[in-house]
Amino acid sequence: MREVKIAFSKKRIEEIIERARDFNKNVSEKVSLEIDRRTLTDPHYFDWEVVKRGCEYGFLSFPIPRFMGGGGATVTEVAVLLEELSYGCAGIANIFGAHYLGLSGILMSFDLSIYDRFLREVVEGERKGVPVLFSAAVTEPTAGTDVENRELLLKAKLVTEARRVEGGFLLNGRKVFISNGSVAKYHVVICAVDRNSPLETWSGFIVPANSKGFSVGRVERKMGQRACHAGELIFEDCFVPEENNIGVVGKAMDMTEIVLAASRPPVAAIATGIARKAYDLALNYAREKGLMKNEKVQMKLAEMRAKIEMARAIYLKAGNIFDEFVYGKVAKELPLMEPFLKILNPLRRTSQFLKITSSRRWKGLTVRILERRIDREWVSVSLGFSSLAKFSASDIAVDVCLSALEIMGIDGIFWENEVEKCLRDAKLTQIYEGTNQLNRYEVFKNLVEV
Amino acid sequence: MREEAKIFSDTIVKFLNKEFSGVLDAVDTFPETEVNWRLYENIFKFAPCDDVFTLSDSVEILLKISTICAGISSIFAGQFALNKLSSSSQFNLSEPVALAFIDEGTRINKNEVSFSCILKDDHLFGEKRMVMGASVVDKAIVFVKSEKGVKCLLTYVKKKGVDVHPERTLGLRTSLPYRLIFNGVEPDRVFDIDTEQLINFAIIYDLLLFASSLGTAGTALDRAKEYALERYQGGNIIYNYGAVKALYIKNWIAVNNGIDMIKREAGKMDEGIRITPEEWAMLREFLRMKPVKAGLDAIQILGGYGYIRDYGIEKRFRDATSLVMLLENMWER
Repeated sequence: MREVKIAFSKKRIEEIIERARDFNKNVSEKVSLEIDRRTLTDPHYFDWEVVKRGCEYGFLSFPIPRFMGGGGATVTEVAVLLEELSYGCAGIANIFGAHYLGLSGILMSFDLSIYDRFLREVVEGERKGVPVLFSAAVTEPTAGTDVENRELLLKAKLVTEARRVEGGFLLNGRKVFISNGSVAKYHVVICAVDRNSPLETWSGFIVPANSKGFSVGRVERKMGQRACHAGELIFEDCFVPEENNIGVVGKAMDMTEIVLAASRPPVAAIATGIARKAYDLALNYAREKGLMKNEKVQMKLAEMRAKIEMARAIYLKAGNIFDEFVYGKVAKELPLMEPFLKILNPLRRTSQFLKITSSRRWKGLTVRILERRIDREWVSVSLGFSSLAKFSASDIAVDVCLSALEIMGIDGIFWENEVEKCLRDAKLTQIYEGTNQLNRYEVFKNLVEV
Repeated sequence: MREEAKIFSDTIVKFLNKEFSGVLDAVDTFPETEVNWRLYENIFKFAPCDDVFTLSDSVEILLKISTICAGISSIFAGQFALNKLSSSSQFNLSEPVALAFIDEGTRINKNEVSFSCILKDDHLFGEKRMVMGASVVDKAIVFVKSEKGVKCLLTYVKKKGVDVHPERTLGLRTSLPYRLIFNGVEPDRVFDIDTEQLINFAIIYDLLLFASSLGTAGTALDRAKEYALERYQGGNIIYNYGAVKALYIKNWIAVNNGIDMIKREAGKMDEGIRITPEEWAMLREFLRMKPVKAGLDAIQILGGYGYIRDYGIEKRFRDATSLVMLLENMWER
């Protein structure tokens, strides 16, 4: 078993937690239940005010590199933030989580033209209080788990295709269950350029929501996490220019594995936040109702607490592995280069320079450099630990919520007591970002079988 | 199942399928949002006021109705339990009534049943929760404690001094659950009831709720299996994956064992064999998380599709969980 040393900046982590708690107190806790109630009958209701308030806290640009004006957060830091935000409301946390997922596809590509054209807008919008949200569109109506695994993708029943045409690509098909799908300004769409060779042509594209041929279909009526929409994206001869292709054609599965290694610890963190909330609700209930002397309740609460600590330890480890051995290896000089890159910001954003960085040649060069720097063995280890964190923490979250429900009995099923919302919210963490069955398989393939 | 019970359950299922297909989904919301009065008036019209079914028949009926909707079957569970009580005590029900059993102080052990709702100076005070269909019927049977032990009261619900509040719940929304607050109401009739009858009533009610819970969880599993047999993943039918099959089979065994146990206990009670609260509490402890976990795993088999309302799986999970939690923590273990 590979040993990994965990290192954090305590001060930075404390600052992130403080920021998130302030947001919970001033925003989430005031609106969380009301959003949940309204969206029960109106799934289209979306509280933009919450996202706008998120701008004040720098949440939208949190993982964007500092030289671009963002928060420069690592995966571990993103996870810590999301745990805390989920404690306030998992649905609201997932609006930011899904946005980060969209961004991560871009961030990990190191595609400078995409950075300069899209990430910049997020940063500048945030400063003005005008949120620019992203979504990541991978799941298809008949292929959910399939599109997140190399072997399964080969046999997947795909309906979305980005056919090559002059000057770009023509997208046709549908993506479903896309978090932020109905509200995002930009969608990071991952699909095949040729459905008959999905793995070889698996590619990423940025599709602006106002593109001709793009529309939002149904917004799902979900059991939980309703503050964050799950929408259907429809592409009907939707033209995407060449420069909106992230990286180069055919490299998206390599990238997807890295993105999943980065995105699963934050999902585990969301689950941990929900579990903590359920635990605190049950603990307060036990105190109020004089159940603290009941041994059965004592045992239950102790177990819940232990499980939450385990969930957090697992996601921190997974996040740390990614930060140190995947992103850290690729971008090891970034901290030193950031001042230089920042000075170059205006130059890079000139039309002449953008033309260069948007060219296939430049993108191809970037991909080649990346490929040399990425240690595939560590990607595999990281993906294994991320998957392990995701399924463990989400299973723990559901268990802890059920225990809270048992302690509260009938009071647990009442909406105003919030525990039932925790349970509904927790269930989704076992499903999205790859079902827990797929994540177990990833652990087997990447950590056990090797 | 006897012929009468079969006809009864078939009639209800046919009625729900024919008249209210699609409506049940619409009423699966907080009661203040939308109430389909016609549906509930008809449901209560169907409910028998006499003890015409054996407990085994009642279990079979509820298992069948809960395949359509556990909220509706939980209304019938209350009616059937009350009919059993009326047949063994002095009161008769000539019309459908709502059952107001659960309150904050409801506790059941081998010697007594206690409530926080009280009858003081012939007036009723306190709060009852999860009173199903309280806004549809005129009257409710309310269980209270008094200086002379536990009493069973019949009171008009729509009268001064009774506040009716819709409950916002995880599940069983289709049972139209209400909270009744009694502010010194004079009951219309007061019945004495002995502890043994009351304990027996509580066991029967919980057993019937479990029948509904297992029934709806079993349906969720069946639907999940249908889905898994139709859909492909990685070029294979989903059901052919060992991980999925294991999820289904593990829960199928648990749910069907649970149903068998419930049927066996109902059969024993029909034969006049008494089940003690300790025995029921033990059985309950064994059964309680089975429908909940079956519901959760049924959702898991469908993945994202299980989590949205369209397939009706998440509703079954919510209903099954709520049914288990209704009398959770009320039994002395």
